[in-house]
Amino acid sequence: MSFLEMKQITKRFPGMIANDQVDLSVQKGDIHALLGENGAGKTTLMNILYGFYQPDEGEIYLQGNRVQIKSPIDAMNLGIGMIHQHFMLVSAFTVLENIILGTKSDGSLLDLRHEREKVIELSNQYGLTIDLDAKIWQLSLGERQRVEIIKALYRRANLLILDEPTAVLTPMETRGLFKTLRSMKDESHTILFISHKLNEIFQIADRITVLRDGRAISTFNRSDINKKELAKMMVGRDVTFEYPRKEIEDSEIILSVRDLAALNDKNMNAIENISFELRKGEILGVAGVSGNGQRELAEVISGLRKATRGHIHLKDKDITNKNRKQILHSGVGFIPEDRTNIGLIMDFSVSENAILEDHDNGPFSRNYVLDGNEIKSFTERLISEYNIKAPSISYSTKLLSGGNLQKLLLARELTRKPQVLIAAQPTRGLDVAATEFVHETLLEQRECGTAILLISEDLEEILALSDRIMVIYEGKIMGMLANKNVDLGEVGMMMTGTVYEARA
Amino acid sequence: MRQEHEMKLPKISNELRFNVLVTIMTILVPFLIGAIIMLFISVNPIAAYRSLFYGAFGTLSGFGETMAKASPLLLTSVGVAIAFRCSSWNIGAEGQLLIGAIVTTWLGLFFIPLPPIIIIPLALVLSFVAGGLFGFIPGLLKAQFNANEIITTMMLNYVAVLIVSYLVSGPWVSETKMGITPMTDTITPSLQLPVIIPGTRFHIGVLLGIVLAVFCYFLLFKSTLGYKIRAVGLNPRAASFGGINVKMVMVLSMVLSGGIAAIGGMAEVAGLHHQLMDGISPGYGYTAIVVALLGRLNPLGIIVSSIMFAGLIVGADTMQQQAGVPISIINIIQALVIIFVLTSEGFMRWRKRRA
Repeated sequence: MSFLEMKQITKRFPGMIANDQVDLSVQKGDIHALLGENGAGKTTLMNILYGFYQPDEGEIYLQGNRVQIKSPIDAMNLGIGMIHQHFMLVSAFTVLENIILGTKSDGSLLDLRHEREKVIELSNQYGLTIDLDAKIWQLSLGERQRVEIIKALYRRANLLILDEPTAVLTPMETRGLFKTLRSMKDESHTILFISHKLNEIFQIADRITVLRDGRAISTFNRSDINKKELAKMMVGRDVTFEYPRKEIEDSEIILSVRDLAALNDKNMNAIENISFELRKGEILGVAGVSGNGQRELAEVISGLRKATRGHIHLKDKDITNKNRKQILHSGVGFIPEDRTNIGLIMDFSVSENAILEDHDNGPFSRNYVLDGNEIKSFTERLISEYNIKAPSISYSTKLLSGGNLQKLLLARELTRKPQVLIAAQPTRGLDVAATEFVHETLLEQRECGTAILLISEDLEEILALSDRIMVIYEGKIMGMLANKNVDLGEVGMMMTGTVYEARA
Repeated sequence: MRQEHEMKLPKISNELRFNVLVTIMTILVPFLIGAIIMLFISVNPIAAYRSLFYGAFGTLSGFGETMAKASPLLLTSVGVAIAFRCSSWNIGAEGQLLIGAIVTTWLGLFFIPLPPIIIIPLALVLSFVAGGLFGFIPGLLKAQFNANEIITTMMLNYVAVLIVSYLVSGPWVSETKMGITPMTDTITPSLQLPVIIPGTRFHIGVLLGIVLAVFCYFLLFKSTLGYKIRAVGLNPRAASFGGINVKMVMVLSMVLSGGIAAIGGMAEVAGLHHQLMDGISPGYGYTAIVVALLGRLNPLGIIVSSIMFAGLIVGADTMQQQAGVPISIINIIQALVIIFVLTSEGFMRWRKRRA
């Protein structure tokens, strides 16, 4: 008998079916992966299981008994815990306070010492070491995730749902998480693991259910299927994983950065002593856990943040601390990681966003009057060349999917023919098909001679695309390597602060 | 993915339909509530509303009066809309209107005699400049020092009201005219705007307003400056990503906003009152906020909403006389429209977030 059985679950949202008669059967003590593209219905299905949504049709059985899960409280009482992509922690509270928050409702006084012992026992049992008295805001994302897991265990969850848990982790933290999950499995906890990363699913899952377009395609044992078949099933067609790259010769230096330093929004040093060179037709991958100065580095180069020290040269021109408009005209393109808040105005139409950087220039305006026809034909060109799924140029940008938002951004930046392109987390949150498109576009640009600074937390992405790899930690360069026979462990060490001899 | 966008297609027309529906409801529901209150005090609501409409639009003099009231409402509302589009919450249209009225009165009382063809455009320009300056101050304070413009513009309203008080009871007080409130002499006839329908107070102010509203529509939606204003209003960070000088656009939107509102004051003095006095504006600059929101911050929509609101004010008197409905009912309806407009804004944002 299955531990959990979801039968014929259907959930409709206005204008779409998120889950269409999905069957899911999970065995006790299994690590069961839900694999699928964005929008395939994984999170919806789990939110139904956790009581956030009510299914329109279908039934849920837990250990053979039919259950009605009307709210997360019901779910918790049934022993179901969920770790969301965005952690639900009070950042001014300590770890211990967060863990026990909301568990006592009988009005009696808290016996903190007793609870502390219980929490310590739990965290030792599963190898989840953490300082119980640290405030949440002091913790890294990986540590916060540990708090969430302890929180679920403390609430006696025996079925744990993890929604893309590795998205925020370093390789080392991911290894730690997988160790924890395995020890939970040994204690016969059942784990549901949502992901669209094939590699990690192969590392951790016992069984795999593939979802596509709201339907459950199939369920396999890990040993019965390979990566390629799985990817095909998930996307609905063949997918490439490796991109052939031609070696670059010693080409001319396009961007040179010397001793660059800048502050973050809190006026603390975000980057220090950053020096590197970027050549024509080269992709330089910047690896590192996010929050280590990557955003500030990209913003300084693209003119959105002031450098406190150092110089940036574009060919022979000094562009240090030039204003944004001058930088835009000098040929620096920027795909910011926060596409919905910085790169695009979500309440604008597609065509209004298409001219964001050039609305002042011909042919889009003359004598301060916008030229609607020029804007229209330009936007239509972008939509068709980049295959952006937008029904019209006046379509509201906020209704575009994540992949199409990124295509619109890429289309706009690349049509300006930049000499240097900064791409920050260009595939974060995108599904396999959109990721593939972005990767191919970046490589095409490389072929055309654009110098690309690729900032990414996804090591695989960096390895697949970069010519050289620069590892950044706490705003400093930890090492610079040629992308040949890279030792992942070495990169992981550098990402967490170990300096390594430069080899490039 | 293909499927996905086909499914999303009907959503946009739904949204438009929904917005229109909400706008109509924000007007209809207050009238329905007003009708229920009337039933409680044994008044026939149909008769009452008929006399309201008749008073506002049914007679030539009523219609003229409605148009006279629409003039300051329209101009101040369009001014407010430009600032609001830039997320500069200009609550100072009242003060900016008064500044325009002061400048125009000064021209009409003390300036060298000039023919209408020169002095009227001069009054327009000077009012715009003075009102623009009155908007520039809070705009600059906001851009440079992050001073909350809601507070600074509101404070400047008091400054303007007190300047008017000082002028009309002190240096500019009329030696010849006697009234309950202090007032100035009548301005020179060459600065008095022509009346469109003789025998009414329907002066060309409202036409001026319509022309400016159409101009501002093009400014907002067809010019690069309007593009910048809307970009800064919707997302200042993305605007600066696009190379827009956010601070300058912020200040500029306040200057334009104040300048246009001041023309509303110019039209009041030159078109209607022909003098300056205490209480020359019964709060047009505040009503303008509601009128602008009701017109969805679109200058063309504001032409409709300002005439409607003016009709509501004018018709209320007739309703009181003919149907014996206390004028407070109209105040209630107006207040309800305000509440509904404000909540509908929030309601639509909430729905957008959920979508």
